[in-house]
Amino acid sequence: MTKKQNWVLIFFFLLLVSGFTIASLLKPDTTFSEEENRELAQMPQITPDSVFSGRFSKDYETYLTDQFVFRNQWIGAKTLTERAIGKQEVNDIYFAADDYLIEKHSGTFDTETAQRNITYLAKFLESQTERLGGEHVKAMIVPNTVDTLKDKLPPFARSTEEDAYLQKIEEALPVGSFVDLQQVLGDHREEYIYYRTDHHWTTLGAWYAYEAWCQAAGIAYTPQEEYQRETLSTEFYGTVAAKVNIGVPADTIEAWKPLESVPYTVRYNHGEETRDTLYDESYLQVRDKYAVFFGGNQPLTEITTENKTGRKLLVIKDSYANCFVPFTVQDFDEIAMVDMRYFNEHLSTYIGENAFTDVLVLYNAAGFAEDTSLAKLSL
Amino acid sequence: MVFSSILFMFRFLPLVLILYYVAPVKFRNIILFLFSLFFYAWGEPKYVFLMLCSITVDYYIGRRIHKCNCANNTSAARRWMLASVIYNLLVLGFFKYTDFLIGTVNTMFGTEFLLTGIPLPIGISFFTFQTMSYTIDVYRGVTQAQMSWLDYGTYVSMFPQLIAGPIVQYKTIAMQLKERRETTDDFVAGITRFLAGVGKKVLLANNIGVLWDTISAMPLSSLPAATAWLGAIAYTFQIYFDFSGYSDMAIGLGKMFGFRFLENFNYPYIARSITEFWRRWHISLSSWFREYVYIPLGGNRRGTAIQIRNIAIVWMLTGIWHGASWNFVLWGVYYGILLILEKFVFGKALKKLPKALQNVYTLFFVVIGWVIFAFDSVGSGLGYIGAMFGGGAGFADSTTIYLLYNYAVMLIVLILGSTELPRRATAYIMRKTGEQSWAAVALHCVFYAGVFLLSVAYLVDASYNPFLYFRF
Repeated sequence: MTKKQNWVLIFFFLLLVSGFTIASLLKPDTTFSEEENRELAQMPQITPDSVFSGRFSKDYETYLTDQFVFRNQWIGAKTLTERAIGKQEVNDIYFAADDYLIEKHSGTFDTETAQRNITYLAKFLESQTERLGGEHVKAMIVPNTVDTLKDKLPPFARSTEEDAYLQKIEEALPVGSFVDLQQVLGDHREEYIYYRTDHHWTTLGAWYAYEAWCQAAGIAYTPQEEYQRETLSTEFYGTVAAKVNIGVPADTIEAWKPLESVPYTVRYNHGEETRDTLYDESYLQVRDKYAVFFGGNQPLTEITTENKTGRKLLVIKDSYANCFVPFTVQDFDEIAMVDMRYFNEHLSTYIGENAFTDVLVLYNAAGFAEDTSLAKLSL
Repeated sequence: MVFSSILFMFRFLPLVLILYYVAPVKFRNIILFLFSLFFYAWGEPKYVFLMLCSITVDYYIGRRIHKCNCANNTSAARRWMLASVIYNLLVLGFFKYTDFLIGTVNTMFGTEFLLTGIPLPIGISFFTFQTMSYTIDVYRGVTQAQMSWLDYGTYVSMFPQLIAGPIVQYKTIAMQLKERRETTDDFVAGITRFLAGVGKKVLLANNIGVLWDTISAMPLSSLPAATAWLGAIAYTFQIYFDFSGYSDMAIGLGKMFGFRFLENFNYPYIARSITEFWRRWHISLSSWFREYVYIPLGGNRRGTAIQIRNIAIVWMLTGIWHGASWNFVLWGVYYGILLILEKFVFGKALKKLPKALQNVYTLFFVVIGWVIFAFDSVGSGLGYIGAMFGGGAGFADSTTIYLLYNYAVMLIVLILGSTELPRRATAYIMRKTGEQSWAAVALHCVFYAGVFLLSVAYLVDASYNPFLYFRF
């Protein structure tokens, strides 16, 4: 190359490097990433201690990368490249049929925690069954999208660990306490029972589980036709979409409101807040729209209704229950939802103070396998 | 600091380039030196003093050797040279091998000495070897002693080659330290070489590394042979593109500042024998051992028995140099044996095989070698090799097919990228368009900008970490 051509190349390279350098210096720092739903790293403080321990350099690099210009576009470009070279998955998310993005959950089910949690659950259910009788104590461990919608996965992608894990749970629990949702949801797998962009099930999916549970627990439930199905949002991009950050069709969130509804009040955390609705519609304006149900996870949620059934329900749960529990409002006088991850009281004391007639444990399988708070069930 | 990071590419590099080229020539070494210290201190704020100490010790010893040589006092010169070698080996031994020794003693004698937990100073294996090459060469009279502490410090700490080589011998850049002409030709070659290295590391090595991570995490009992091979091949590519990518970046950066380092890799996976493989792989390390260990021990000039002994010593050392753990020793011994066998037993027969078979033979043993290299525990490595030969679970399953078609494009790119084909294709295109045509310039811009932008995308993505605290 001639000297002139060399200079053109050098200029071009310096332009690329300095362009992004200057742009990244000028861009104001962002504090929160909606897509990732987390606080982005901020400029770390320089102290002699942080510098010499090497902490400053580590934090500064995190800060620099977190705040780099066009962050979301870079992520999208990477995902598109991976797709272009034939990868069927990016960041542990399968690109599945019918626009489904499905989390892999590989390695989730063969950990020690996963095995221990089965034991904790079995013990808890045994003691509750003894008190309340088998019909009134149930567990539903919801299979994840990757399990129920296996046939949507890319060719030859296999997912068998969750099957084995759910079977192990069923064998460990007191006979009759495990409500087999693989069967129930599997029968409806062609319907819209899981979100395509989020790791939760849809309200419809939850309803099928509700029906199955009511049948198993001998509860007279409200049939599908007796709800008004209200669309809360058609712009829902969930957590799974956040992990790949490319354009996919949005999901729809529905709330099912009974035609003949009973008045109720919802009390959060022993009266920290009281409301007269199960929904917090302010969340429809932010990224995490699934939190419209109960405003997201709370340590303790108590619903008091004007029913006179004589039944009181305790739900030990994760966020899968948030769109499920609204169905139960029709069937019980009181319902308490306890999220063991945030609940800092002794569970047995709480149960002792409240005369529950029914107990339901409701988790999704992956969340259940990964949960580290289940030892507290025996407290 | 590493080259393939947002920090290096968009903060460190622009700053050092600007200051270096704005400054008058006489300040360029000090700028390079200060930036190199900063580069090192970034990850290792404390060990930078260890490096400064090594620089000072060997600088001083170099001058003493020079004085003794001038006074024709060979035995004193020899004593100083040995002092330098002992100092460097002690430093290396203390920081790199203390816990390995204690661990080994504990297992052998059932003792319970506590491990020290000394963190390994980055690049220590490289810079101790470089400083030793300096004092030994001054002693041998191959090169002049460096009279400027600053220039010597610039050589040892020079950031392009500081943390992952190549092992630049002092004599190869002694002149350039004092006088070098930075040309636009060199700068352009430096840019393209650097970006090629970034692409090899970020786009190829990291990517195929994911496949290796996936497969090596699978339980051995359910690992089919084909999947095990796929994993081993993935690691084989990962380590080559990672390491040679790093060397490319180092050589490219060196060129941007007017330095010419020797090549470190020369298409090792097209080698037709293990002997040839080691002439093409990590060349700066093998030449170091040849020059400062093998030949001083007598090389091949003192009979077959001594030669075998020498090969054995060199390969034990090569193994242990790569890391303080027994698998590296085994890996070194493995190559020592293969090289001795090639030299004395079947080397000639090998040459008579069809060339493709020679290639297959070489790659077969190289891949197995990398598996030994990959597992810190010898047991796990052997277990994995067992699975490659059917000790796991049958031949293949649906996961094998899934992984294979997911990585098919990547594997083809890697295979082609390991051969001379890209270089030949480039040369062909350049001939067609004309070396000095603007079309060639445009092609360069498009290709390297593409590599650069994609690499940035992957680097940013690596930090992309949706935090799902509301998860479930």
